[in-house]
Amino acid sequence: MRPIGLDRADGSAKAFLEATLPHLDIIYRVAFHTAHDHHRAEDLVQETYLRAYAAFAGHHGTSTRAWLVTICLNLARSESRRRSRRVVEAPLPDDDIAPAANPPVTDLVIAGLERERVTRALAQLPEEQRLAIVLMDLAGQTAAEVAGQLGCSRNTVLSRVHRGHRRLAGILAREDVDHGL
Amino acid sequence: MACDQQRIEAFLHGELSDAEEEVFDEHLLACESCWQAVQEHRAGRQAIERLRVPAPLGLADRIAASIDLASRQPFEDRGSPGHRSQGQHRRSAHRAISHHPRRLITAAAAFVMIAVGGTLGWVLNHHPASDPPQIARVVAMDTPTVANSAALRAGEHFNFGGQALDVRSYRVEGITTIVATSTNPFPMPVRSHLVGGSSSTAWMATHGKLAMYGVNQPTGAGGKSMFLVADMPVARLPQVAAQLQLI
Ligand SMILES: [Zn+2]
Repeated sequence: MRPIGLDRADGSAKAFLEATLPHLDIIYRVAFHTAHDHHRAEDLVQETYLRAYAAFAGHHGTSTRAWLVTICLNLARSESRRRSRRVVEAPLPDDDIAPAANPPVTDLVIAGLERERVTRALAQLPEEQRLAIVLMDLAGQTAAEVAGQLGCSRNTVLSRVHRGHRRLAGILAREDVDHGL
Repeated sequence: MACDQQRIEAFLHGELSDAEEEVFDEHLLACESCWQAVQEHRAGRQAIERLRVPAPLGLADRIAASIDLASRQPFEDRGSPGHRSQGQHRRSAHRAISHHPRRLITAAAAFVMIAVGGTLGWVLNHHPASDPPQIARVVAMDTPTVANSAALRAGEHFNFGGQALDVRSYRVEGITTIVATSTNPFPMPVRSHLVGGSSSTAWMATHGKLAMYGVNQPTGAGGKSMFLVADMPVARLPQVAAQLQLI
């Protein structure tokens, strides 16, 4: 169902969407794990695409995925700075409803709970480890690409990913002990 | 061989030479702390795998809608309403009609019956100036011939007519749909009609080719009031609202 209505968009919009929508899942993951909220993440993704569209004419050569991720990261940074100056809003109720339950509902629920647990654990990691993991594991980028985006060396990225993985495993294991699992 | 953090990382990322890897393999058998580091790394990585989920349904449509709106306005004009060429905002008569979620069809059918059996005789072209400002301003966003139909920024916040609202654009089956939400109920446009059926207050109205559908929640009840504007038959809008999980 991806490219609905592309026919209506004019030439440049169409070319833009064809080049960028295949990376939507990845951009959404990056947005979600930097914004920590579905609604803000969707807004962040939309803003990323609007910015990217405005700059599309000047985008040549480099990986479109890495280019979009960079735009998203920069927006997330300025957004979090802007938010931290403001009063924190009450979180909206999470109204994401699972689509029609074709797989057994219990499977969906368990998978959802597991994802939530990992999401919470990921959010507990130090920012630099979390970002490195999101950009490498969830955005599927190379350590070199991530190094460029984070302004550090490739080795630093690998080391943050490694420490992040270990700490994440530790958090999850401790939870298991706490809950007697 | 001494324990070496960098060597563990290189091993985990498959960056050791064959000879180095053999040596490290041997070391792993004997060294508890390196073995644990490797195991923990793998467990963490495996947990992360669960988070490789697709973007929510409908997000691609929403992106396409906002790009569509942006593409109808030259970049120089962004934010400063101005002149545009005629052809730029001519809407395509061709519309993709696709994917009707099955679960919504009964709701839509029920609604059509109410509409047909009840009142379809409201006047279509009422005077726009008489609408409450918050309604008129949102309608204008979906009307390319009106000056301030600027491309919406993501989840933009506005204060129109003393009411704080969030406005978003979506694309539903190829048609740009503007959605406004607020913690306060929206005033109903002139010549709108109440539609019954639930504890909340739903209304409908048309504005030229555009149709509007709103559902108001009482202030303070926690729910959000919303209305949407789209160039499609007004009877379709409740279905669209449900499709966008607005109601
Ligand atoms: Zn060792």
